[in-house]
Amino acid sequence: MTPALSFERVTKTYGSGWGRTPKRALDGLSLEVRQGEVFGFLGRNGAGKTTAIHIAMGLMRATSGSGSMLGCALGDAKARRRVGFVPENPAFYPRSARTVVRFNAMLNGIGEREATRRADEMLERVGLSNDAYRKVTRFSRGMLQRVGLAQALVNDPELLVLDEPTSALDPIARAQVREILLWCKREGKTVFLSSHILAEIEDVCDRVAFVAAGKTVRTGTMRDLLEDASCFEIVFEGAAGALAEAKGEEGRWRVVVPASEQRQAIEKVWASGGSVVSVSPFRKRLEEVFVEATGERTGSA
Amino acid sequence: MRQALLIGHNFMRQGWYGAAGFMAYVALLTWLGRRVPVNVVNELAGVAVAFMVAISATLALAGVAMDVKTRTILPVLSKGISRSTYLLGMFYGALMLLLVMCVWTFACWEWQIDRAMTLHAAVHVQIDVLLWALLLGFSLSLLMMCAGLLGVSLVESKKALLFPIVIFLGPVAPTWFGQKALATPHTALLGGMMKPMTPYPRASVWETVVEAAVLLAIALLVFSRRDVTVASE
Repeated sequence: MTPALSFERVTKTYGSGWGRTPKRALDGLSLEVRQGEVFGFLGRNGAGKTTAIHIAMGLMRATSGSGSMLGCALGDAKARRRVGFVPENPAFYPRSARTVVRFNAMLNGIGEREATRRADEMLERVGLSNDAYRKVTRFSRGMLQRVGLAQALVNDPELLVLDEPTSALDPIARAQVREILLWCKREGKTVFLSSHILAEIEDVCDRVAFVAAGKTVRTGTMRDLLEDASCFEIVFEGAAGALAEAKGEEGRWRVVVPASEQRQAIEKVWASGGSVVSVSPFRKRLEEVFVEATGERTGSA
Repeated sequence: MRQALLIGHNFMRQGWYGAAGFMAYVALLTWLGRRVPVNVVNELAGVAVAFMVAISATLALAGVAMDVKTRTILPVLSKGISRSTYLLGMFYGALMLLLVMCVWTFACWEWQIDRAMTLHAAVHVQIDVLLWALLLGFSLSLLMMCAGLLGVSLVESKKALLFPIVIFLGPVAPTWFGQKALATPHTALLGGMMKPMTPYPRASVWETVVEAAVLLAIALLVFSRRDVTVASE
């Protein structure tokens, strides 16, 4: 199956002109986003996430490397008709929200009447139907983000590219965006989501890639990344002191042991008269994986 | 093409205030000069043309530059349109505003001439002379507009303003040092603009329009290849 979005050894160097010190923003970035998945794109500030997204959307040109978007070359105008894009800190012409969304729909070749209908529908979906006739210049940053989502969804895109879509949103609006992303997932749309909010990535993404210094340092499904098959977490009751390294409260203890020592640990709990509540693969927090994947590389750079 | 028209109409809505300011200025000049002899009419015509030229350059240039600066260009260029469509749309919008300004200016002049001829029976004004002055203004404005688009395609906003200035005044600059002006189509028109009603080769008007078209073609080529944003991260 053709990937929805792919980068193959893409590099981008800024300021390579006369007398300027070149800065390499992307250094051989390679990754593949499959159709129908929600893909998280994570990295520290300056890691090259926005640059990669702008190259995909044709706003910038790669210095070298190639890639594809919905079967066309990166940045191809025909492919962009089937893509929705929300830039970081979106900005729009000083018109009403309804006019802005309709204008963006019409830029994708949708007729005026249909564009108006879809604009109303999308503004309702993002919770802005009451503010549809207000000028966007009077909107808060969070409301602008929602207008950004509405204009990205208005052409019923196959691929949705979101650059920090919830960075300015309050918790309720963030939950609304999460609902929209889950709706996109149910509709079979592919979502490419760049975000700093790890909880959001953990909740909605099927796969994630960590990018550091312009390179993909780790890619995998959430399960692969978070579950560590080499360790198990054992939860047990009623045998305090059975395992010296166990931590717990209210009579329930937890301990993480290597897979090879799992059986031995369980037998110790039983021998001490305790009962095992659960044994499951040890699950890391995404934040730990993030620091592990991006911190190491920065440290060594 | 429909998208270019859409972008053009959008730009017209944005640039309307600049054009309206110009038209109010021309109307004021016309009102103030309504009772004076026709030679003053000619001078006012020269001033109006100069303003039209300056406004046209800044209109097109500032339109694109502001879109880049305020990042409103990002949602637009991420749609299924090419860079050329966007720039042609901006050009179309600016051109329409320029045409509106031309029509308004001509209407004001004609009214003023009618009044002057009524008050000063001995005065005769050749209307075609003013019409040619207007065409001069139009072609020079078009040149400035395209030079502005080329400037903004090549460099960032502030430096981009240098391009229309250099393209506009560059050919006549040697005359300040006693040298002959460089032979560009619009050199003759510049002379005509600086001395209103001086005879100038009328073919220069069309040659200047061609010069503007060449600049626009280069601007389209350059703009379709450049990075329109630098990542903010």
